[in-house]
Amino acid sequence: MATKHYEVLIVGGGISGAALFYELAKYTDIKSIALVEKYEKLAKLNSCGTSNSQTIHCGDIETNYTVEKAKGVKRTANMIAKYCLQHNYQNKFMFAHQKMALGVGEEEVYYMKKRHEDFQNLFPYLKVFDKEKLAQIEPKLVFDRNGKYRPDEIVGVGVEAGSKHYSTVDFGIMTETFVKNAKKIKDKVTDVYLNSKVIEIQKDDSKHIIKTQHQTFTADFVVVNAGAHSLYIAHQMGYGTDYGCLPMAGSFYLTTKKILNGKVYMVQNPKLPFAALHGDPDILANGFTRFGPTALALPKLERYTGGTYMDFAKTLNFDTNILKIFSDLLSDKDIRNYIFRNFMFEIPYINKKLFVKDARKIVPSLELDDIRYAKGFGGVRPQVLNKKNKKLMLGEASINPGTGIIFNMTPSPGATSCLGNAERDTKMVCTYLNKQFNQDEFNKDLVDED
Amino acid sequence: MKKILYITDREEYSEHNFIGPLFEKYLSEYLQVDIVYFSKYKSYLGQKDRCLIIPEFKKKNMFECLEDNDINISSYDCIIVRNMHDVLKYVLENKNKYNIKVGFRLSFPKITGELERAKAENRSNLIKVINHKLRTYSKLQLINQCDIFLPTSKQMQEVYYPNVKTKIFVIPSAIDPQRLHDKVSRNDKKIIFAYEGTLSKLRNFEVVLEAFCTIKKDNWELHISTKDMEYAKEYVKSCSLNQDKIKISKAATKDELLDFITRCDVGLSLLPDISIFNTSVHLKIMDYYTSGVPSLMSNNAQNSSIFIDEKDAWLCDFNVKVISQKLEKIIDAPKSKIRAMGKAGQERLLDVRNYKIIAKKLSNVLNEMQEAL
Repeated sequence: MATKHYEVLIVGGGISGAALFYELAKYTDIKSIALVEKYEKLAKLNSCGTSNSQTIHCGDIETNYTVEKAKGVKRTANMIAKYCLQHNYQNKFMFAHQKMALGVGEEEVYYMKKRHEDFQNLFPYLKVFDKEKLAQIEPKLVFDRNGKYRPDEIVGVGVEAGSKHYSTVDFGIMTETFVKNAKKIKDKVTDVYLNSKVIEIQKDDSKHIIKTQHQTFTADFVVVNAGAHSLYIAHQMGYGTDYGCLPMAGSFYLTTKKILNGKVYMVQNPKLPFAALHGDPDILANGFTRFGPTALALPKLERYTGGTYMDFAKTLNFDTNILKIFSDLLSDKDIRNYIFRNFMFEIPYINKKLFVKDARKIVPSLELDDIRYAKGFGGVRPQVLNKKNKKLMLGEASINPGTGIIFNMTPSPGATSCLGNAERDTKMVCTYLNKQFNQDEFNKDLVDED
Repeated sequence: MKKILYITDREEYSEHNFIGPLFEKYLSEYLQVDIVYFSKYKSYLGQKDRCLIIPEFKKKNMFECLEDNDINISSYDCIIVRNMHDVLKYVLENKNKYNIKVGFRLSFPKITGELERAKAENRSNLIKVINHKLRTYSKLQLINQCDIFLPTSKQMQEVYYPNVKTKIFVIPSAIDPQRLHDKVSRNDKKIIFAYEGTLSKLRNFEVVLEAFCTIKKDNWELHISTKDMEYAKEYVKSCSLNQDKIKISKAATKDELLDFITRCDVGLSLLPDISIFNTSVHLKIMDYYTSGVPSLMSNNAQNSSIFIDEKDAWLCDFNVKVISQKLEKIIDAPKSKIRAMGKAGQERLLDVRNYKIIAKKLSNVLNEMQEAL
């Protein structure tokens, strides 16, 4: 088969790869773009609707964010809503659910109220819900098993049902729409290759040679958005050797009936790079509540697919620096307890009992029979270990050696930032290829004016 | 000296009774003052005006955290650490690297406070006593590596760290002249006593409650504002006082607290005669006089160095009989006299314990320290 050439080739058909595919097609003068996905469909892994919490994380209820951090996140999160509204996807796969962060106990309640004052300018729609109000809008947070008010102080900060603030998205379907809408752009070659696992990428003068299972491509620029495998491919090419990858799997528990009316998040442990246990109405499960995620280190890069154990071993990139990172993490009592507890959440028979105990911080009346382990739900997040700084990184990592290739690792909340990350990468691609990015049109379509 | 960094042990959203007026307000008229607070909840460094909020889990590498956020440590002439032994050690380790002066602020002898509390609760043992000695010694070594030591009183330094060799500048508790509240006048004959602050076994408030039990007069009430509400309720239940005479509440903010005090007539600051309470004038006394309310306080050297008995305060020893006598006297006093004493005490403090004046003196001392190289 003849080698096909593209100006840009994207590895990975998840939300990040698809968002970039869309932006390159719509907002640049790049003429030929390919998206290469190893599985039989797009959004097979972490972007699939059952693998994540379906949440648009805009910084309003993420309790560990500073105002500055929340500002940046808000911008990219609002792009999700604007994209969906532009294409009339609201109430199809994007929804405005009630949502809040819940403070439990005197200290958390005080913090949440003070935080609300600080964040009011940035998120003027946020409201404070006292116990009485919560009893009306989210009663399961308030009443214990005997139908009495729970004794501890609680406060919610968020938005009520009926607001126009979009909180929930099926990122799997959104992935497909990115590709569909990209392909509609005229005078562009926008090809998608499924069942095309990338075997090798090589650099040859000014272009890259990408060998897949079935054919070979060349591209002027390559962006690897392959989840945990981004670093694996980087290492194969000799890049990113300062990083290792710790795959963290998240599991969920589904309720057997509708429990919560909206999303309820808890005050986050700031040392951990993922959200504390939360409850969300699952749009793929009749609105029943999905609690989670748990967090378990897995020795494989993908969940619910075969193999990838060796891939993990290679990507971990183990040495004394990695050992130091693990040692530092385990020396922290909070983190140690967290790891142990989450390990217990995976052990049959005792897992549910322990999980219910934790989930009762949100719903005090929750019983064992109210929940079941959600088999097949959850994914694997690639947490990046920085060997130079000897630290677990909070947030995303991107490797750009300046040679016409970028590798992106986007652990949670990667999906929310897909359009913002794609904007960043699109600009880098255009600069490298001497192409134009239509920022005005991009802003008009996707960026809020405030 | 142009720029200082004040690293506090206070949480980002806590009330900053001392840091606020002195460092954030008055001292910043002379120097640029950046203040570090730690947060138990945030994952990232935050900045609000001149306040830097650092995640608590980054405390051990806080300079790295600051530099990662483009804050130049070397731009500070002096770094002052409040109370935190471990942070002071860290700053001193980096003193030469960043070419900075280092100061240590001791607001309250917490190490000794822990031991005294353990004794009061019958939890003390030899290990705790030895631990206390070791920690105090270790802290002294660190203080002597500093360029300046800032205790709350000279007496505090003499009692707890008598072997300090470094320069000392006392920063006592004081009042903020811009935050005075007007006393709310009432026409009734009732005297309302206020108590604000912590209640614990160490403070032995039962002695005060017992004194109230013995007084014969009826025209009084006791209003308590404390975060230890459950403890207060247990205390009060266990004494034989008419429960209707006692009100317990918890002020959420400083303004709410000062407002609470303005509705009372006399503030109580009676504490056991032990060194951790006797080596400084209590913040609650400052709060009472900020609201123009005179105080019945412990008769110790610190208090009597400022106030005169029966003129701008009442001073008495910490025992039931004496307290009871004073209470009777206060209840009999005309309201006009009580108001005048509150006013006199407030004026006295504006003369001798005024954050605005202290800030100017502190800035002079810091500048002299910088010049003396």
